[in-house]
Amino acid sequence: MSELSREAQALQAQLTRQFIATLPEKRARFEASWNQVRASQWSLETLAQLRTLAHKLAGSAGSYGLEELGALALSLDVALDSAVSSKEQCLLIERQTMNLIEALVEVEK
Amino acid sequence: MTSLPMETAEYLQTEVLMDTRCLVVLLDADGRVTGLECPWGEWPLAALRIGSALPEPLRAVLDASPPDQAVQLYPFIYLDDSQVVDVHVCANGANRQLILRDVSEVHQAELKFQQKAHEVSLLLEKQAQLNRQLELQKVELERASKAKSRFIASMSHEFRTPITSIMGHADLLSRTASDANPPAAIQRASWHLLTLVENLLEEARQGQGTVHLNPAHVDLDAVLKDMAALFGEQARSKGLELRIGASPSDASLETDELRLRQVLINLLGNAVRYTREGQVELNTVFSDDRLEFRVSDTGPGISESDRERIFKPFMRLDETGQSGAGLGLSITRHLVDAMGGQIELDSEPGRGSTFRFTLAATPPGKTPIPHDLEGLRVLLVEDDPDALAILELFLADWGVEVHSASGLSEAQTLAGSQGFDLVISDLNLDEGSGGEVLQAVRALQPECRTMLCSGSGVSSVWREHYGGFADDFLMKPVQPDTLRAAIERVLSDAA
Repeated sequence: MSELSREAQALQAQLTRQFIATLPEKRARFEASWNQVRASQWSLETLAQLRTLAHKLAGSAGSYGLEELGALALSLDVALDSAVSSKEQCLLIERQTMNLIEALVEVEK
Repeated sequence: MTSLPMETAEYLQTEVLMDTRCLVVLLDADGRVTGLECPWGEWPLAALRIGSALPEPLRAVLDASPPDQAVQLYPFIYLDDSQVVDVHVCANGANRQLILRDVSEVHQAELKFQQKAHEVSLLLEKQAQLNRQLELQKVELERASKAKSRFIASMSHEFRTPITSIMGHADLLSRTASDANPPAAIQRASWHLLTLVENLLEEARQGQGTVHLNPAHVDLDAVLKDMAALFGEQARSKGLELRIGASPSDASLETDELRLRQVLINLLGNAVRYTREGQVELNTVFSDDRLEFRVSDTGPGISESDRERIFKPFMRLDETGQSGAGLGLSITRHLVDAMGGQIELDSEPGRGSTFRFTLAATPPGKTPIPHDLEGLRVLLVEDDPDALAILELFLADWGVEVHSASGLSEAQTLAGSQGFDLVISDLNLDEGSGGEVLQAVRALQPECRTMLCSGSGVSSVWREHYGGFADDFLMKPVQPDTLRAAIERVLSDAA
């Protein structure tokens, strides 16, 4: 019942291509945001910006069939959910950000 | 010296050390001081003067001393706060003499020594206490370390079963295009493996992390069938009967299927593992909007004192002869809690165990009826263009009339100028929040249905915060079927 029509599927494929075409720009935003997090020594404001990016990608990537990318974005989103309070948490966030950026590079290929 | 009576002079020579300060006090019959002699060196004592009475401490000594004994010693008499003397009372007919020997320094040293000894004994006591604590901690550490090693060993062992199964079926698949349906077996073994890995991850988080749920409609029949296939072989090989009851036809369950499978695999796995003879049963009963899962066995049962303990990490009752990581129940409880249920245990030693938990399910009357969405007017509030584009595409394909807004004020303007059947809003917006949007639209159009949408969170938590003004919740990423199911649910509730 929820199968999309042929026209919609074609449109979906087109939207997906468009979405993938925006990934380099998204990656650049992640990199810039990550640099700001480090430059500001993990200020709350920059962490919130990074989280917004991760949250949006977590919400959209899966809808375009990029479940793995969405899952990576979600785990970063979740890692940023609680206040950053330990060195381990910083390392975790760093690793997840790096994983996500790497995954973006992979998808771009 | 010459004025000293002979006995006193002799006593001085023989008994009292030559190098200490001494004072001989001559007394008359009434105890008055008649003379003061320093045998060697000077020792002026203000308290003693010729012609006056003895100071009180010495008077007391003299009174206490029996007159008929030649020499008596009274050690450590305080003349004042700092002056301490040994008093020798010498009898010489009716007159008596006192020999005072200055022992202030000796006494001070002794006091210090006693204090030190006291301190040392306190320290020793403290050390003994610490040693006892250390001993206890050591035992506790050894126990924990043993439990961990056992856990790692048996976890590795447990991984082997599903991996072997996957390899075997994959091998079979590569050699023959058989009709034994190996892909399904591979899938089931993968499920099993995935559960073990999920268990490990959950364990590593030590139950502190929030469980991330992805609720969706669950095909309960398929889940139960998989459980029967997954544990059938293991039960048969032990001579056990595995009974999986049919799913209630009237209940529609929406939850995180992965977590549900993880919970059932943990419970059934334990039941099959610990039951030596008889049967293991899984039944599902639907009543009062709740779906109850019941896993019963005819195993050894669990005593009351152990019933809480088994929900602790790494805990297993029988540490010998049974395989298994002894975990699962702590995680199971954690997961059931996260899914909005509560796990309960009925058991008695020798009479088997029954684990029960209930999850919210849709009642029979409210089973969603397919709706024609043609012409439905939907206000879509989403600030992420990527998410917006795909949602618009899905909705448009079903003939829905979509109007979109990127934030609170735009949504308010649209809702103020035209009517909507449904508003779907993202939770985290750049301008305003999804909650505010739904409330604002509700205020303008009380009949409009509302749906909140987000990429993170747990639906039970959403219900707590937004249940008042959101009719339903949708987890991102949104797929066509989940979106359509959610819309139909909302419209059915309204009907």
